[in-house]
Amino acid sequence: MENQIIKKKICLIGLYSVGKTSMVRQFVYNKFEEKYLSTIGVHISKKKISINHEADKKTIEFFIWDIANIEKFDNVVTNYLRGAHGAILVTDITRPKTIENIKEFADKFLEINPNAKIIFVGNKIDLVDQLKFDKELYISSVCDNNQKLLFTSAKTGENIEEVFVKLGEQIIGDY
Amino acid sequence: MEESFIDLLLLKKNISYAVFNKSLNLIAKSKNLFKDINHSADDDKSINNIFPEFVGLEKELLELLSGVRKEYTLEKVNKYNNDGSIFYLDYVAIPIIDLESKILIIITNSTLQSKLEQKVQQQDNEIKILKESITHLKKNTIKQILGRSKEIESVKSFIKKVANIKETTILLTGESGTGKTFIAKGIHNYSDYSDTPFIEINCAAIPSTLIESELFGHVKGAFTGAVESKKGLLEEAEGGTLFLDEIGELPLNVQPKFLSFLETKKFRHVGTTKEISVNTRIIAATNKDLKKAVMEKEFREDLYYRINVVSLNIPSLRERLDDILIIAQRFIDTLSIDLNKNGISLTESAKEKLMSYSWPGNIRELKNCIERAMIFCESKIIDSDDLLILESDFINKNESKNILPEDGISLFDIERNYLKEALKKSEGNQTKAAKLLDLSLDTFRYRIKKHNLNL
Repeated sequence: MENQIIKKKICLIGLYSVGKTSMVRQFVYNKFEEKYLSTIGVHISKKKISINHEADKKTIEFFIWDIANIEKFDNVVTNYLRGAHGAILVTDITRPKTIENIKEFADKFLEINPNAKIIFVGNKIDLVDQLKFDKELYISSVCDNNQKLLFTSAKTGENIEEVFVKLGEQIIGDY
Repeated sequence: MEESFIDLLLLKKNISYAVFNKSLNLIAKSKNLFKDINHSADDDKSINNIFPEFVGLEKELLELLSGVRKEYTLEKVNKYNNDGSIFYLDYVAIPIIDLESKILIIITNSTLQSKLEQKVQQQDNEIKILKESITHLKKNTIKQILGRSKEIESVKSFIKKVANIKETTILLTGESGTGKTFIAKGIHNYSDYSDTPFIEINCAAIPSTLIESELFGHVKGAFTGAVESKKGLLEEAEGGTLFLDEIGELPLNVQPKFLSFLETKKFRHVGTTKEISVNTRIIAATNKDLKKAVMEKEFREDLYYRINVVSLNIPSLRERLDDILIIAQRFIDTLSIDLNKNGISLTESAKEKLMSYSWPGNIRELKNCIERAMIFCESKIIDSDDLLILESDFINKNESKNILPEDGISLFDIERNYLKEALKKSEGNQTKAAKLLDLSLDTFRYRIKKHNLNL
């Protein structure tokens, strides 16, 4: 059977400077830029990945919406989120403030896209002493029991591909 | 002719358009569309190929075609030119309900205003991030107080209890070098108003003639040299904390005015009768025995009771021996960075030496001792010989120092010798000499007179 390319829109959501743009840049171009440049509006990138699905391989072409810091869920933001099949909710593990609104962001996203899948990310793992950092505690303060959180580093590339693959697997699971 | 006129108009206004039929294939467009959206033209005329922004929006597009939805907008979509520079586009998709429904997408280039907005946003975010890290650091104040002894644990618990009680003056007592300023900052930083000012004044460091004006401010012409009006520190610290170190040195003539401020939270600038009200918390500190100062008429009794409502005696280092090595290690860690000397450790005998010393200069002295040792140690090990500590101040030796000889001693002579020694060490400065002997200036002068010591 021909390997059909499935086009899926996914959004990256999270507070300013958590590393959303860096995650996309690392995933799509294998690059990292030290300098912080804040995003306004939205930037859309594309990348194809292969996902194992029921002893088959499926190719997803992700349309990745890197959305600027969300101040409020107005019409502009709602239109960015509409039609998404998944979202990556990004927090910065070095900044407690970045987890304050993340559940609200997730709820609002699912309200707009009830069938979509979500995955949480604790980014900038390279900046903490992994022996001292309490991952379990962090996960419990960000997600509910049935939700997934991966620790990533957009700088080193750690777990970046995995986040997109995991989200792809969840999305493809519905096929 | 008309078409080129419209294209010219659209070009001038940075606008492009595209029309899609019911099957969502391109059927009409402005001349410059592909150039304007930086799309490489190919055979695929589907909306998802030309506008990947519309992938996933099948439902919304159908609603437009059926007229259920009146418009669909996307603002500030970031695009890249071939040279890597960024440009921004706004999209409005509207239905054209005709014989056959179509969708018109109008694209406006909003790069100019979006770039300005990006610059503002960038600065705004950077400020927010800085503020976040300051708040985070401040909240870590308690963690920065080193030690696990029960004495220091009670200091930490005191900070937590009093941090948000703003109305009551706090008095911190303790020997010199115990970290009274650090604890005062800790109380301020742990409070909910940690982003307000924390202003510090050392009452002993300001001439008594100037301290009133420093605290309360003055108006122009209030005294010789008051060439312009100046706010006092009580006002500068509005909403936050004013920390008065060495409160025992507050001149007697200023004490009633300060007491009045503590009672009413109001005061007057020097040289005016107009009252000012401020919401400033006062934390005071002293290494002096204020009770004794009250008895010796150097400190007002009413002020003493007013500032002594909530007080904390910060333990000396020798009262928390268990913490010495923890603090020493932290100094080593911090200084390693400053001095660019990594991996330095203490030998067992160095540790023993640190533990058996009485540290009269407390944490300040410990820091100096470690710093000196780190500068001069030639290997990565600090041994006991690298720690320059006065032999006379070892705890065990202190004990033997106080043994009364069999044949007795002359207290009068001892006092006289110490007075002379203090004057010599302070090069004749009576205030400094009095301080060395923990005496008030008046008591010191009285004793000088008693011993008939010529100055």
